[in-house]
Parts: sequence; structure tokens; C-alpha cells
Amino acid sequence: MSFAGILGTLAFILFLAAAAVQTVWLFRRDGKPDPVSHWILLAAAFVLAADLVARSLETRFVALTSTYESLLFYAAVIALVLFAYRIQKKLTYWPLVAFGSTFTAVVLLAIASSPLIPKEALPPIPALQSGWLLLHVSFSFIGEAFFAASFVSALLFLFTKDEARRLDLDRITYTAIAVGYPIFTAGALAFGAIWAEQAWGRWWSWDPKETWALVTWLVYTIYLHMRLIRKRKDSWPAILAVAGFLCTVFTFFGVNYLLPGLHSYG
Amino acid sequence: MNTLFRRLKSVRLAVGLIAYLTVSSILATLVPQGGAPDEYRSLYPGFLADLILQTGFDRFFNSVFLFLLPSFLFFANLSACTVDRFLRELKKKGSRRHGPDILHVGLILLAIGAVLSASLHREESMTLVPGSRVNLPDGSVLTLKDFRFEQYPDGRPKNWTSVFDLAGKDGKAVKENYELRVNTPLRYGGFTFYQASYTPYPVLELKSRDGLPVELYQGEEIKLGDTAYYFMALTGEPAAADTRAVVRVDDGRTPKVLRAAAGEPVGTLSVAGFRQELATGIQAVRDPGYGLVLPAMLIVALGTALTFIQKIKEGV
Repeated sequence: MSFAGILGTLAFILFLAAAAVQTVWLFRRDGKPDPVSHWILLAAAFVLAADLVARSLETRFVALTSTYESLLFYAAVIALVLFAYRIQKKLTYWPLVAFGSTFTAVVLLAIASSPLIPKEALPPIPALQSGWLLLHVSFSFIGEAFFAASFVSALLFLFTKDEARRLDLDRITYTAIAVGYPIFTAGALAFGAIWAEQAWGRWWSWDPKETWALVTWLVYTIYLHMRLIRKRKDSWPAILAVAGFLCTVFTFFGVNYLLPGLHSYG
Repeated sequence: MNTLFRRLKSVRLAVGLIAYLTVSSILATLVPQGGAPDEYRSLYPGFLADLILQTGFDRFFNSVFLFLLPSFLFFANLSACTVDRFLRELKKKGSRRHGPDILHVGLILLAIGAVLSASLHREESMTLVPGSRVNLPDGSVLTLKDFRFEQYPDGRPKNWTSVFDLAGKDGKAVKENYELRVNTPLRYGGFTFYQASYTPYPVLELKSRDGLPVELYQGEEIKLGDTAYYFMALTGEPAAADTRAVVRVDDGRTPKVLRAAAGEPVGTLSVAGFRQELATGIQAVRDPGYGLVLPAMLIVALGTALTFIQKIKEGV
């Protein structure tokens, strides 16, 4: 196994360890958050970052050009978001939100480790040799990592009856989307369009991946209009937050494997 | 008038239009776009194929009623909402939040830029071999000097680069030995030049009676004495044994189209062999929307960031 492969496996073990610690604490009656899982997640994020640096050194280009590398980056950012969520003081810390998001990251790494995803560190083809790639992909996944957290809190919102808890979960969902939305807008849409103009001479081609990124943005736009302007705190915004994250999943996996287009390599 | 404006600026209308555009765009990615009618008839039951074709769903993003009209309505809604919101903010005495205004103005400019870009966008493709010259619309001349194609050891493309000189309409050099690569376009004279593609290009190797070599690219003509030789095409792969060159030979009396294999005569010359070289594909694009779309996107990014910084500061 290569050095990068060992790091990937180590990160996966750390994520599983964090999820195991969170699971044990979920069954404790005092409801207190565990004291170590966020540190394990931070360590996992650093290990994944080291893995990506090792791959970058091997290919002499930023390792964000394949599905495998994108999944590692995505999982690392989710781990960092969870660490930030644990140490902040403004929002109530919900161990279930942290567990659900950690589980999401574990699923992403499990998909990355599947035989269907090629893992070789390959230098990029000419179309991918651009600084805009770094901005486009990294900002998109940072935004989506916040959406992953909002997805878990929105799901919990939908399954909770207690009004005070729903208010808490709504606040977590909204904050995660409010932070993720501008980052996603910049990464997926603005930087993506600028790169498309630099590479192909067109800002927008209505390629399935572009259209689905726009669909994701529109879903979150509706969410924000409902939540910010119409001040709705019922189930609708939560349903939209869940739908928005499912759109990001389809944009990433579904479009790659089901709908051919200009982004067939990404 | 007031009622119309009130309806036009409503958030409910905005949400409804966004929801419509979202759902219809999803469907448009699931139905193949731009296909021939028979393609839809083979993919879907008769009534569904007819519905797709008659409603224009096969070209959804160009459809006036399905996409362009709702998009225009959304543009009007956004404009009305922006004006209304901006005026309300101005009337406020305390702290004003202009983040959403900036974001909405950016979106309006982006929409105008996108319409300009989509309707006035012009592009031409050129396939050039080293030595070719192209006269550009503004009178400048582009001369391709070299085309380099590099591969990784595993055979995947590493880079392709066109090296060219560009002379202005006064004949003075504007660019010398300029290297055009994928992702690094050249912007000059209102055009943007892209390294778009490459394609194999046949070369015919001829020799004269006294053994002097003559080379012709496909589509190239050379005049030797009174006779013109025009290399039209190859009948097969250059390496195949039965491949022949199709050459038009015109001695000024009776032009002939000849098919000659290696070693056979063509006029006063003979075919020495064939080979394949790579020709570069350069795309020239004129986009009047460029100057508007780029700043509009920056304004959208600024407005989005400002909106949420203000909102987070205020508490959620």
C-alpha cells in the first residue's frame, strides 16, 4: 500500500473511532457531549489533508482532480466543520447532529474506498490544469460540508415534536446554510462559470452538472427566502434543507454516473 | 399600477417562479436535449414523445414559453423587489442592510450580461497546421509556427500548445512565439482565442524527378512550373498498404484527379509516402457580455457574503 493509501486508511479508522465514541456517549443519561470525538475528527482532517498533500507532491498538481480526492477533501471539511461546531458557544451542541454528520463523512470515505472509484494519483489532463479548479472544487465542497450538517439537523427537526428542541435545530440548520450558501455560490457557480469561460469560451452550457448545481442553489435560495423573509419556522424550510442536500448528492454522484456531459471527468 | 407593482414584487411570486425553474430544470436534465424527433419516439411512448416535441421540452433552455418567459418574469420580479427593498432601506433611520440589494443588483446585471452573451456571442473554429496563416476580421494576421502535443507516459494528454505569431493590421508584430494553451486564452482585438482541440492531419510526401522532396498538407496546393498540385485527401490510414492519395493535377489544359499509391507518379512528381501530423484547433470567441458578466458575478459574491455577515451579526 502507498503512503497516501496508508493515510487514507488511518483517516477512515479515526472517523470510525470518533463515531464509536459519539455512539457510546449518546446512550449516557446525562446528555453531556463527549470530550474527545471532536479532537479525533480534527486529527482525521489533518491526516486526510496530509494524504492530499502527498498525492499533490506525487502528481505535482493540487490533488482535487478526481472523485476519490474530492471525497477525501469533502470528508476532511465535514470533520473541520464539526470541530468548529463543538468548540463554538453560540449554538446549542447537539451530539446527534455531530454523530449524523460524522456518519455522513464515514459514508463518503466508504464510497471513496469502494472498488468503483479509481484511486491512482494521476497528473491532470490539460482541461483540469487551472487555478480556478482549486477555487471551484474547494469552495463547492466547503459549502456542501455545511449543507451536510444542515441536512442532519433538518432531519432531526422533522423527527422532533418538542418545540424548544425544534427551535434549536432550526437555528443550527439556518446557521449552517447561511454560512455554506455564500461559499457554495462563489465556488460552484461564480468560480465555475469563470473557469468555464477561461477553458471553453462560454460561461454556462446547461450541462447536467451545471444545471444540477444551479438547482441546488435555487433550492437553498427558496429555503433562505422562506426562512429569512417569510420567517417560517415550520417543517417546510427543514424539508427544503433536506432536499437541498439530496441535490448536492445527486450533483456529485448521480450526474457523474447517470447523466453524461462536460463534467464527465469530475 | 400600484397593485401590479405589489404583485410583481411579491416574495410568493419569487418563490413560485424559483420553484418552477428548479423543477423544470431537473426534468430538462432527465430528458435528452437537442435530439432528433425519432430519438424521442424510440425512447418514450408515443404520447410522451409528442408532448415533449410539441411543448418544446426537447430544447427546454431555448423554449420561449417553458423557460425564457418564466425567466423574464423572474427578472421583472427581482427588479421590482430590488427597487422596493432599496427604497425601504433608504427610509430606515437605524442601521441599513444593503447586502440583499447588492446581491439582487448583481443578479440583475448577471441576467442582462447573460442575455447579451447568449444572443451576441460569436465563435469560429480554425484548424491550422504549422505554417498556416489566418486573416482575422480586424485585419490582423495569425501565423501558426508550431503545434506541440505532449503525453504522459501512460498515454494520457499532458499538454497541447499552439505557438504562433500575431501581426496587427499595420503588419507590426503584436505577439511573437506566443504559446496558447488550454485554460490560458489570449484576449486580443475584441476576440478571445482558445486552444480548443487537435486533430490528425494527413501529409503527402512527394519527390521530383531529380529527388527533391515536396510536402503537401491535406487541402494545400503547390504550383511547380505550369502545373498545380492540390492534395485533396487520403483514401485510408497513412500506414495501410492500400492507401492512396487523391491529388488534383492541373497543368492549365485538362485538370485531372488522380489516385496514387506510394511509388506511383503524380504529374511530373511521384508519391514518396504519407504520414500524419497533428493540426491544432483554435477557437476565436467574441463575447460582448464579458465585461458585464464578470463584474456581475463579483457583485453577487460580495452581496451574498455581506447579506449573511450582517444577518449572522444580528443573530439568527
